[in-house]
Amino acid sequence: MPVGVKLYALLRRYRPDLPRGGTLSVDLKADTTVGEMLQQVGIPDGAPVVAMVNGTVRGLDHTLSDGDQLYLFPPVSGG
Amino acid sequence: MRNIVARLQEMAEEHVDARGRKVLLVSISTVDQVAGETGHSRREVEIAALRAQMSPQRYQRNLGTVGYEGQIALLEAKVGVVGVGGLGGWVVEGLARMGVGHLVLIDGDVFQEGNLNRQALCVESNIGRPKVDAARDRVLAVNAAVQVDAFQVRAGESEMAELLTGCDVIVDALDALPIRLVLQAVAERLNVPLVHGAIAGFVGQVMTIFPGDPGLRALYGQKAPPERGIEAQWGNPAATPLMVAAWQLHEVVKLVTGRGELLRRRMLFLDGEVGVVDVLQV
Repeated sequence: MPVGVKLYALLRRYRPDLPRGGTLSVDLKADTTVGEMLQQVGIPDGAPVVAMVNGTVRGLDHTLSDGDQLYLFPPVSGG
Repeated sequence: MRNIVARLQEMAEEHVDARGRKVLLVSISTVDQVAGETGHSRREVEIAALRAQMSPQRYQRNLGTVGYEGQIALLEAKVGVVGVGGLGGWVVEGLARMGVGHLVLIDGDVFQEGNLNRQALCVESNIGRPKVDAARDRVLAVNAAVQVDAFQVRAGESEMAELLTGCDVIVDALDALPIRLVLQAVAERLNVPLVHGAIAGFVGQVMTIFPGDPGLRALYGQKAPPERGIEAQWGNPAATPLMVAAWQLHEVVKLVTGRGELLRRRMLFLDGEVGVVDVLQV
């Protein structure tokens, strides 16, 4: 099943092939979780990341569905 | 008020604006003189001038954007700024210049040398000084019409709620995740919108959160978040707080004047490293 993934900030470094502002189309097996998807996309374990699925932030154990749109960005809190 | 307007009309300077209309301009010295004569504050005199379609010169470049009504709303507004560091320093400076009439500033810290690279109000001579004291001095130097309530305190939930009571808008210019979530709860309790901003390295984010909106809870969940985000690794260079504070400032102005479209349930995420700004639905 295909999902769309956009990477923000330094997370882009894990996919230098992705054009600026581009969406990565990833083909996943059914019942893939957010954590498994991160691994497949090439984001290392423990990298600080907030995963937003269709506008809602989800945990690593959330199961993805066909056509989901994901935004992956780092937690930002400086002031 | 009639006395104020009559005196202002006598003393104002006539000016023809870009559209060929006559405008009566009022200088700071005129405002001060009329305030002194009538026993009103500078802010009250400025509001009276604007109600009579006279333009305090200092706000003339605001009026095309916010209008007379908007400028009056700004002068009548009370805005709380929590955190007066990298973001808050620029936000406070901008709010004073826009003419927000009443500011409540909360920050428990004193300036350190590590703040010099990015914090608007930090200079070599005030290292060790409470940030809110420097902020109050700066606001009054920029715009003496502004009332400033400055609190040097690391406030918890109930204290923040007390200090921020009566604010129309609250600005989140803090630097740690857990206290930001507390501030969102405080804004919710006080039933006022919160303008969130955060920075790390080349990136920053801005979002306006109304009571009941998921806001930061959507991003970080209900469980205790880590103290710091990625800024712990990436640092905070000079440009990013300027960019994010500027967006926060616009959000406050839009909230107070009722103009434009807010970044509500939308988070602006900017990445200066590659020059990309995105708005994410939250």
